[in-house]
Amino acid sequence: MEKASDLMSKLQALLSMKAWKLKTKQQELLIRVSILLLVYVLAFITRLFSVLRYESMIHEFDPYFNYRTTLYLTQNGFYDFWNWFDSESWYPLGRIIGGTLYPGLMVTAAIIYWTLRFLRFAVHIREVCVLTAPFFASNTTLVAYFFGKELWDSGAGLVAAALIAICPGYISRSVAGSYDNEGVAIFALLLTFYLFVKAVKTGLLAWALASAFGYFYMVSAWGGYVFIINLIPLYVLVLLVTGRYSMRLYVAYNCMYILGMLLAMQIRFVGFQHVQSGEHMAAMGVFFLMQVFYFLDWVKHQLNDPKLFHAFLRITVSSAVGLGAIALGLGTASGYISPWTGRFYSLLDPTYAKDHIPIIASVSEHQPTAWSSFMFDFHILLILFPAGLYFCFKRLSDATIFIVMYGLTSMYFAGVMVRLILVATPAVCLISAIAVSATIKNLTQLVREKPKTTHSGSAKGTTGTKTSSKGSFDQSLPFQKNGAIALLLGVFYLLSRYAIHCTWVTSEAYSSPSIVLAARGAHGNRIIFDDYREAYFWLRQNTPPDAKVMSWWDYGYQITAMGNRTVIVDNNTWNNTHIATVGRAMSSYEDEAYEIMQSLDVDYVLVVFGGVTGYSSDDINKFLWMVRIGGGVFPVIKEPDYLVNGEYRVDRGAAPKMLNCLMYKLSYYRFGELTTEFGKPPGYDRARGVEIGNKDVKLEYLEEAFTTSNWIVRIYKVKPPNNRW
Amino acid sequence: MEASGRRPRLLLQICLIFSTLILTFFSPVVRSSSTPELQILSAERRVDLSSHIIRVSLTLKVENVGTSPASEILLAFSPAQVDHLAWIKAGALVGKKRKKSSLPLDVKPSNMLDGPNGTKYYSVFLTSQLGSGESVSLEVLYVLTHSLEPFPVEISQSESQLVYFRDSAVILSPYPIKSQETSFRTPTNKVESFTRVEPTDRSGTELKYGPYEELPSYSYSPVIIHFENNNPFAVVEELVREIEISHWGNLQITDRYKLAHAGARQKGGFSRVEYQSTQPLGGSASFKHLLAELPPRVHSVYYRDDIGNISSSRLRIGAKKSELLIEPRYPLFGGWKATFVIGYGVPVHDYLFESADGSRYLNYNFGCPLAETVVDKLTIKVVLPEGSEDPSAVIPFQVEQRLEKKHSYLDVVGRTVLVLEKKNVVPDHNSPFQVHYKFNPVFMLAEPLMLVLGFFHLFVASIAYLHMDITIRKS
Repeated sequence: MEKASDLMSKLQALLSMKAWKLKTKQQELLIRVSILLLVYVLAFITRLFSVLRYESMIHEFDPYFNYRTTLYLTQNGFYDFWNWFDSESWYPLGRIIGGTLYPGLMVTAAIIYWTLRFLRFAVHIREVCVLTAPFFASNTTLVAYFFGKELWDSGAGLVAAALIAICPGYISRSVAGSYDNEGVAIFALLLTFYLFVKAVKTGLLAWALASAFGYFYMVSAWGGYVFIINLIPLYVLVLLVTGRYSMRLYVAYNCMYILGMLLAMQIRFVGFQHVQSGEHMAAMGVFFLMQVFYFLDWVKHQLNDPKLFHAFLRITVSSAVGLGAIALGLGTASGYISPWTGRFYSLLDPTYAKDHIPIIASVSEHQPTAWSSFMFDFHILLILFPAGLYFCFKRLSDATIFIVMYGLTSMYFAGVMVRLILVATPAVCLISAIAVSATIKNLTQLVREKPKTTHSGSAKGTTGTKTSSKGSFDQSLPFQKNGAIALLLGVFYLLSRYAIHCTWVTSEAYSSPSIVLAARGAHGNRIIFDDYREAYFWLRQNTPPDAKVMSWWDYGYQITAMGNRTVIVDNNTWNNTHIATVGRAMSSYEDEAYEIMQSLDVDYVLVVFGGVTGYSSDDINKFLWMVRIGGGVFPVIKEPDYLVNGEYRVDRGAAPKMLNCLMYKLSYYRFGELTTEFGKPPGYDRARGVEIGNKDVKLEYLEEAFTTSNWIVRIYKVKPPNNRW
Repeated sequence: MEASGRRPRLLLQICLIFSTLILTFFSPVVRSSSTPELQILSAERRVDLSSHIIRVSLTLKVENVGTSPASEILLAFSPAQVDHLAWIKAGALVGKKRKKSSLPLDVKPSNMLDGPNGTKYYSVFLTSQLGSGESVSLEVLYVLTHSLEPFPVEISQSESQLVYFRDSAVILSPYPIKSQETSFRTPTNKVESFTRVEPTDRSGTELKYGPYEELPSYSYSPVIIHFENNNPFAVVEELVREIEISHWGNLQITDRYKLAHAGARQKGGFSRVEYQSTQPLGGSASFKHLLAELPPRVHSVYYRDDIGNISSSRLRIGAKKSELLIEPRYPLFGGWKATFVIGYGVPVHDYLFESADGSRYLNYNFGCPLAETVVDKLTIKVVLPEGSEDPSAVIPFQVEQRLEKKHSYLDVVGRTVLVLEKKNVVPDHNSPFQVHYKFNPVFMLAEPLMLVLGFFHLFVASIAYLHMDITIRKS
């Protein structure tokens, strides 16, 4: 892609050169601007697969909440949104929306919407939401260009922009319709880093101020801002340790930290965490350390006596560290400083969540990353990354130290959690871009060089790019030019493979909305399973407006957004006990579950069932997590009761408790009468490939209210209590 | 219903007629002559109950037995029927036997005061006056909606739907009728019960009352028919149609539906396995799809609702008409609702014309494109292009009109919207209507020019920026 765009713009440049005779500098500018423009457009359109293949719709789970809140924001204005108490979720607790969300995304979309409306573009808010992520991905390419320019040169910037535009690791979270915080947060993250690096490089207050605002935007957009507030102090610390302390650093960090902190406190969800939570203490520690450094510098300047100064240094440093430790200890002990949260622990220790917080471990995107998904998301960048690191180390500066640290730490986090590949992507792209750019630059220099006398000798030297580039300076090697051309072709081949891979991954893996399922029919035609929306729309139209729906938390956001009905639990998993109560109800016998449901005022129960279509991520397959989470709070629920010899099964050999629990009954109610596959007995579960064990499911307290056409969503009505007389 | 159980009492009737006559005589609406004396020689009424839209055809032979000529003939309706009367048409039959043809006549709600028991009148205006002793044959067609009352009120999924229809065995008329006959046609053979008013005869789907001879005016004899009707009771509670005219070549139509099944309510749950296994019977009173008739040459058709596209629809484009078969997301059972939007574009030159005086007019179909549906409230919004003036509508029947403003893409002053509202619309209302307006074609260029200017300024600004040096200090 990048190659093609390069050629195109060169061609244009050639044509225009004849017409107007541009100066070389102007030509270069024209090429650069047109490449950037093409990359900008490319980043946008490569994310539109899902819109073309399905429709302009919101994807997955969390985006539905974001969409719903944005809708509320545009309809009721900012103050109502900020003070919104949502009684439709977490019944009967409710949720204070304004105080429990990062409003950056919604406000951004609303501002875009209002601007377009002001310019008299009659767009629907849904379209704005759908295209927000691709738009910000395009903007990210611009930031990547400037960052790359800052780190290396403008060539590296262009390559970085092109790489990040199509990198699958980023596309997975920013396709059209994936209206999630990450969509704008990666832009904000990279922008903050870029502005901070710029501030450190120039020492200008303006850049530091800009980076503080970038940080504020990041805080308002995503919880991942914790990464910034820990990485930047770490970077500063490394600079201090390596003796790269300077006034520029002092200005940049102090301004960014103080202003950023004050601004971040304006976000209600973050509040005073910057001074009260353990996760933010590193930044504060480094801030004080900076002051100590400055003070020491001043003292050193005043004393002019190395011996005296060393004694003074020892006392000051030890007392400063001691004071800090005491303050931290006191703060933690008194409860002023909150300890690290479970999510933070699980980042540092991959096994922590599995043992302590099943609700985090139950989410598939919180699993440790497999090698294959690294390869899938990064492709050749995974190989270029170390090469880029080599180049960075070769030309160490404040900026390259930053990108190296960003790359290494984010790579570690990407290994801990699948979803954090996203955070690593910009760093990987930037570092790889340095590698690509530096290599190509060296090779083209070789190609352009006037051929000197060739020595007949070993041809080995041309195999490695680095050796050849090095060789060009002292003496030219045989077949140097040919080798360089071959290597250039190799690089282009690799880059084009990367482009092909990225496009393929985007179209095949990351562009399905997961609300609508598509399958291939026997004749190669496309079959659409639109059962989710069928069920949600049924709920919306045919149940009382105040009906409460109980389902597993995965579907909470979708039910409130599309079904417009009150839910018991949803994807904002802030109250473990409430979720455990639902898990307990699902894994109890019907009569016990009825009591729980009565106490929660449940009117409808919604389950997702894939036995007819072979849809494997249904509630029966998630059921063990319900048992685990329910059992974590209510010890009456014991996981072994649902297993037979440690094996989870639903057929005749299943555990008796399994065969009679509410989830099983609701999933398989009257399923035994249905023949799902030719040549198989009735009641054959296609998702698990077994004949079910309890075909005669009788419901006493619930009745089937609706089942979608492919049985994927089943809704049951909770009957009112019987009359006592 | 109100009229049932009341026996016409002759004395009272006559008194009432006289009082009405006197009142009309003195009423401000002055007629050309005194109310003529008419009588109906023979009357035949056929009531078609096969869907939820009841179509009644009435053939009358009216004779003037008075002395003064008559120019209008009154049709009487019970108050309950008037509320549900959606559409009425009358014609005079001319010619004999096979060469019979019908001349359309004007029908209007009469501004006569209500008759006995709240009877309401419609007047049929004859083209030529009916002289003394002359007679004329009339054909009246009218459509009733919401007149079938489900009983039992709630049915389960597999039960079929039974409904009551209340009417009179004899024709309500302000004139005495010499001989008359009424027949009701039910959709199936299954008739649970019906009131007998001898002579009454039932064969197959036909239920015949009469002939009755020599009945005085305002005779009424209530009957109840209880029968099976499983036809879709598709009622559009509200339909908002927006017709946006663009002189650049497209007419964009957006229909927003609020559809409901107005039949017997669903009792108990909905069982998918039953619905699947016994498809024709499983949900006999429910309906799964509807047919919408769209104009020919229709393009970019979409069918969606608040939460996205509905993938179950099929479009067939033909030379005369296009057919869109739509399936709501779920089958509709009694009391269930579905809202959706159907939108499409058609070439503007098929519907927009220039009249002799230079003004433009849009000629489009009134009514709902869905087959066999009742629309409780139809709102048609004709969005005229920006800069058009003097909108006026020509519609063959009474509708409410008002003007609105709408801002669409790149509008500065907003577009004039002519809003037409009508209640109780049936497929018989699908006749063309016209909206006339004045439009200066120069306005067509306003929006492209705005865009051109906008981009021009953008480029000028960037050129200026590139050539400007705004640094204070040279580094």
